[in-house]
Amino acid sequence: MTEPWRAALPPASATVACAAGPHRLRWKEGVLSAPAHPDSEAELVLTALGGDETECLRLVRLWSQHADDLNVFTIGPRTPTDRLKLVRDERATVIQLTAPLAPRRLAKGHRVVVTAGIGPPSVAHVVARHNALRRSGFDPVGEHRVELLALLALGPAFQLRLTATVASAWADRKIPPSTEPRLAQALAGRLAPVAAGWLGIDPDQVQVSRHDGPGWGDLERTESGLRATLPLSWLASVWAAGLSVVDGRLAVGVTEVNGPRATVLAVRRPGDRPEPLTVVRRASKWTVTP
Amino acid sequence: MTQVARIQQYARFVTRNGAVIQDAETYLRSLAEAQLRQAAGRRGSDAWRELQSVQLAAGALSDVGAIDTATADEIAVDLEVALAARGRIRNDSFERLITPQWRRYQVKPAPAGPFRTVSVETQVVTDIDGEPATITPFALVAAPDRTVLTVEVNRITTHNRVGWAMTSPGWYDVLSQVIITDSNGGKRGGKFWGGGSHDHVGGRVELNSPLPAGLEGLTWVELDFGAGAEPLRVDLSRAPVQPMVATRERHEATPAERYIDAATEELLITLVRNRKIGTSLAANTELDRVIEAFTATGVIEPGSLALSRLATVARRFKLRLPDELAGLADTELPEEWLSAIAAMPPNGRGEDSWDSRRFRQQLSGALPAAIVFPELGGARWTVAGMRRAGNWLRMNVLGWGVPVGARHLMHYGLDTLPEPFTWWARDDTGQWYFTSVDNGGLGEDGAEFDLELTPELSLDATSLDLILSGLSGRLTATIPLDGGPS
Repeated sequence: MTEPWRAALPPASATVACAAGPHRLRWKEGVLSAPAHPDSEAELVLTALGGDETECLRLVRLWSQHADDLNVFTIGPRTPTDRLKLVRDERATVIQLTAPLAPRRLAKGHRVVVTAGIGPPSVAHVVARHNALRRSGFDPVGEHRVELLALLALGPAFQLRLTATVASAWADRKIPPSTEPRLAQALAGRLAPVAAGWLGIDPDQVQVSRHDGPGWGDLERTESGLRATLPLSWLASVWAAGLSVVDGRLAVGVTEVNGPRATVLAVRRPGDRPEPLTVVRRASKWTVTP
Repeated sequence: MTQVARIQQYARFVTRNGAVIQDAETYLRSLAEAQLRQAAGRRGSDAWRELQSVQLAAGALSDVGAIDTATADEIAVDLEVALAARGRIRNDSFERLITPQWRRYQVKPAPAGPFRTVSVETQVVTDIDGEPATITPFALVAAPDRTVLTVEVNRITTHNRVGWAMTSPGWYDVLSQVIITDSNGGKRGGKFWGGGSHDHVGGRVELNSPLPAGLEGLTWVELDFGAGAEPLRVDLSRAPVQPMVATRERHEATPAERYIDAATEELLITLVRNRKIGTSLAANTELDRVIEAFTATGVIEPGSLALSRLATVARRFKLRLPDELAGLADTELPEEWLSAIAAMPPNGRGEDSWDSRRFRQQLSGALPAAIVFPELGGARWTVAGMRRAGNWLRMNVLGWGVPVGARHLMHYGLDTLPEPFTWWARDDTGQWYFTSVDNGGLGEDGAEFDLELTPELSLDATSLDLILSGLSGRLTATIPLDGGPS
């Protein structure tokens, strides 16, 4: 059976500038595919033998490689309307990355002598060192980020689906203590705006921790805000699907998805017991249905 | 000190099951989220203020060992990428996204092995491009990884030449063409790094290959600047000044308290020298964000003496305090702070004009100063030459293994002392002096800057204790002042 989060997100597609022309990439029920490359396995063999990798297959490969990339949480969208301004032009990206950098502003009071063919003055030397460090090549972290940005540049629909994919990947794992702060940030960064809109409070007053174990978690109104404990799966099944707040109620889980209909567990106020609510998706918007 | 050891130091401050790193990391990540939201909620695309808040907190928390540097850097870099991806910082090109502004240098550790600094203190009178000039090599620093000669060239001015064109390349060439011969017959060239004005060029010559570490096995070196000047022979048998090592900790301070004290000293210098007094602490320093980070993560106690000293200084200069400090009572200030404040003229010294600097430079002469400090906080520091004109004194400082603080990365230069080190001086009359940085540079290879004293040197002084403090302790070296011009 398809997991609820995969079913709750409708299919999405994007156009990619592939070697043979514009191709469509398609996401459906958690799987990213390149329909214009039906024999992708044969193409992968050719690539392994030294052939050029097509853009479609590169992105499919990157999607798989970044399916549990926690940087998706730190860079990716915090709300469904949070727009990332990324240009999907790989050639331009390479040009930008390798372009020489202009000298930057120097700290006030430093003397600078601009002369060709001699050692730069001390402050300019610092700038040069800094720039040399930048130009020294792709460091693993930086290249990793560029790959991720290429995926996020596929557009808002893919950004939400990638976030859901990563959340789902981590939801069932045993979480090492060193990863907890990142997951708490992932939840807090996305629940805080939702809760702020739901309760009319300052998002900075929403304290979020990750719920681990049976049950859906807990919501408690505090003097100035909200204390929330929710599982990471909330990001995949509720937040990414746009189900966070329906009919003035905060959804804390999804129990079933059947086509455009879904059954969610929702609370009207913090401290309430969650109750099932049937909703239906019409033109990307969920509304309560009897 | 290893990261683990530094973290264990904080165990006593922890209130949540010893999870110091987690605590600081959670705080920083929450701060980053809040700043991202704040930037998104504002009009315009300039979110540098939000970014810098996180950079400062990240830098300070990692400086005192509350979070490992890699994690702190990652949080700050991730925020920068997130802001750039949303067009919230001006330069949002992919170039910035891949290598964001704020990543610490991979600072090279101070090399193991002997360091030695030898004063040269002889002046060469020569002619450069038809102009009479002096070349002053101050000192030779032989570190295990490189050999450096601190040096300057001054035009011999017979009349006011203000308005001249910039110094010709010949001035730099003469310094880059120096040939250094050692007593074993080795010859080395060098490359000059520095800058200056139309009548003065200063900096350092780095030899193409280093002399033996600590100059072991050598009895002399000869410096040949060409340009018709006689080579200078430097006797290496002279012993370097050995600093007296003291590990006294002020109030048994923790690294976080030392950090606050160092920042307070820097604030004090700004206030005393420049009298640029704002109405609040936040208007004069970026400490408010650091204090919030330290108190929120428990790396400093809310009633810490260091915070009380900061509050006391701020009140003395009538600065409005943030809530975290407002309730702290005044406390006793260190002797050196009080001494330096008391010695200042009522209106502060003010900033030097270009002409007054130039005038002093022309009048000044070199004094012997060759100090190698023992390792402190992972760094090795040397003093390689000194220049004095009356009550004005300037020292050439070179450092290895010096961490690059968050503020220095943001400001792209070194206009304040590299954190977390502070330098004080005390003369033999008992007068204390602040120090401040001029002509600074800081990078992965190390630090270099000129150190100046505030207030100006007492003319009665015959020696000077130079006191270098880090987070773990302090070192003192004594420099005689009676061996040169006054």
